[in-house]
Amino acid sequence: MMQKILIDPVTRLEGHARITIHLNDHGAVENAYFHVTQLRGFEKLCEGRPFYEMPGIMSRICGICPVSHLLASAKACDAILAVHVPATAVKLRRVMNLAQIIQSHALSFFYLSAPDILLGMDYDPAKRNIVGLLEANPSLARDGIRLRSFGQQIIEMLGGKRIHPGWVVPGGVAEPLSSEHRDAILKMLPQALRATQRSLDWYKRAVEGYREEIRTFANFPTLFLGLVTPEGAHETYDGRLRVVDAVGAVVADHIDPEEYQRYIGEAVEPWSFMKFPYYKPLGYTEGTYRVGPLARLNIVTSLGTPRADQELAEFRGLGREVVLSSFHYHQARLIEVLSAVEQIKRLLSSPDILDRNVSATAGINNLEGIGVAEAPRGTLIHHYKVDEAGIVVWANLIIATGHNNTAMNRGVLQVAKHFVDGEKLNEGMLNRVEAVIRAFDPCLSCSTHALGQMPLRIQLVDRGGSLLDELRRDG
Amino acid sequence: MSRILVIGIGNPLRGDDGLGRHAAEKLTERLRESIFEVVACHQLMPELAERVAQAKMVIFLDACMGTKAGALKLTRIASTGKGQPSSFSHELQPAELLAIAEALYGARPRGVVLSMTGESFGYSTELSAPVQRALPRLLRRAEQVARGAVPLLAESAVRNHYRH
Repeated sequence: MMQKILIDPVTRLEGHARITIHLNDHGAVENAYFHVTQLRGFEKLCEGRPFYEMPGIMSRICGICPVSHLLASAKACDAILAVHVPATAVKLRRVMNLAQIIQSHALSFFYLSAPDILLGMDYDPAKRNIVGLLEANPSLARDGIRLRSFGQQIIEMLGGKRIHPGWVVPGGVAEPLSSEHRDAILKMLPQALRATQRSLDWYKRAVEGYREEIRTFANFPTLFLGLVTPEGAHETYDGRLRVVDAVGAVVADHIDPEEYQRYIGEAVEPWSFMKFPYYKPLGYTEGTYRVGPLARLNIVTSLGTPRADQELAEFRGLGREVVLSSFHYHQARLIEVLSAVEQIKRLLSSPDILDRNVSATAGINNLEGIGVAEAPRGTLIHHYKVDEAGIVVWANLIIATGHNNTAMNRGVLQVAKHFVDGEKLNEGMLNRVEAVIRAFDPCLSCSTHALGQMPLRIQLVDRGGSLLDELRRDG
Repeated sequence: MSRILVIGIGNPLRGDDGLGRHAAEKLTERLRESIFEVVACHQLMPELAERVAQAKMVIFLDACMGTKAGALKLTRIASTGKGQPSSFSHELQPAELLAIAEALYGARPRGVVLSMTGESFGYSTELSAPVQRALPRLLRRAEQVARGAVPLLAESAVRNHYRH
């Protein structure tokens, strides 16, 4: 008798997603699906708008990573203008992207996932949240708040506001950096560095208690994709795409991001509004790949900064040739924060960082533009086509969460098979099924409004629709 | 370090919901002394806890629902205290923010919410007419509360921070 478990909505993610777990006649998990049930439609609504409005419009896709969309969009517009962005503007854009990575990773790690790791997957959900975290480990909570605030303050100093800054414009940035803001950021750096290191040290001790989750949280071979420098080092703003396989072999390298369509296909499934990108040469679903912090650490030769490279060397020891368990996204995230803090210091120490030449202008020189950058959650692609008046006639976006879609689905199945008992549901099982998705930090979580308290219902029903078991959590 | 913190809350794209932000932007011009800090934000987040912890008093400016648009209400609030469950991930209530400041930094500033009843919360960057008319009254009251709180500060602190 086929049975189905429904988790709807999934908590600590954007509200419009659900999970279904299918059981076979013996009550064992047979399949699982992570459904994204919302449709944003940004690709359609920008049609008919002037291309120069795109950065402002596209940054509204997300309240957590607006800077990433702003950057990828502005880069696509740079390509339409065929403009040479001044070197100082490139550095300032990089600083803002790194600040974005810091604040977004801090939100994901400290606010959304650390309560699980600190308090335990089976802990009372009413207390398994940021408040529980600050009671149990106020020092960790302070560090988390400080790091998020650090990233946000940099964005605010550069862009004028913390969310949806319009400072990155086609051709460069709107305003140069003032010496007061540079000095203020440099002054905050040592504290941010210490907070990050303390958090990493805490995490590496705490994670010892999660060996079973590490073994089963989306721990399987896939490809990994991301941007790297020409030397193969960590890159978040520019560079070329690299694809590495599950044993660390480079299967594609130096891919010009403008040629992404030759390498990335997009499949669709009838049960989700989120697309399923795949590595074209291997087809769907053989070409499943992961992006984001775990992938970036797996594909690079170096992070390019001293402390982060030490951590990278240690991180590599978690796997063989590459680290396969998605549980390690958490550690990768903290290492990237460390790297970002170090990189910001280096960029702000550049002699030309206060240069006032930060934008270039041009007319429409191309009818097509592609902008790629690394968002906190992974590779972000904006692709626009315009007419001769600069009106957008077509747009395609591939967002980090989409790249990870197939892997997240497989991860849900792996966790469900390991932890779900079809005869009886419990809170810890439910939380682990959700937690594997949280490890990826999908962009769906951008609109999360509740933590551990969202209304939630899991039902176990038989083929005839009879309710066998139900777990309910009221908001 | 600011000693009297004013936080204007709201979404400026949703009509009267943006009242707190509009008010904060105008108050920045009226409360220029260094003991005052005025912040405008969409919603309350834990990142504000450190600033709250450095204040003697926090004045929250926000719009509220009600029957008489433009009606003004001053409510004294206290920290929800340690151990109170919260549904927070992206948004806090003022008392919850005070609780975080207390739990993490041991600070217990006084807190008040100065709220005004809104009329329209639809998609708009404009305040409704009755709220627009009542805005000067909100500003006067907020300034009065902020300046009235100055005696809370110790004389030494005033000497250090209060400049005319």
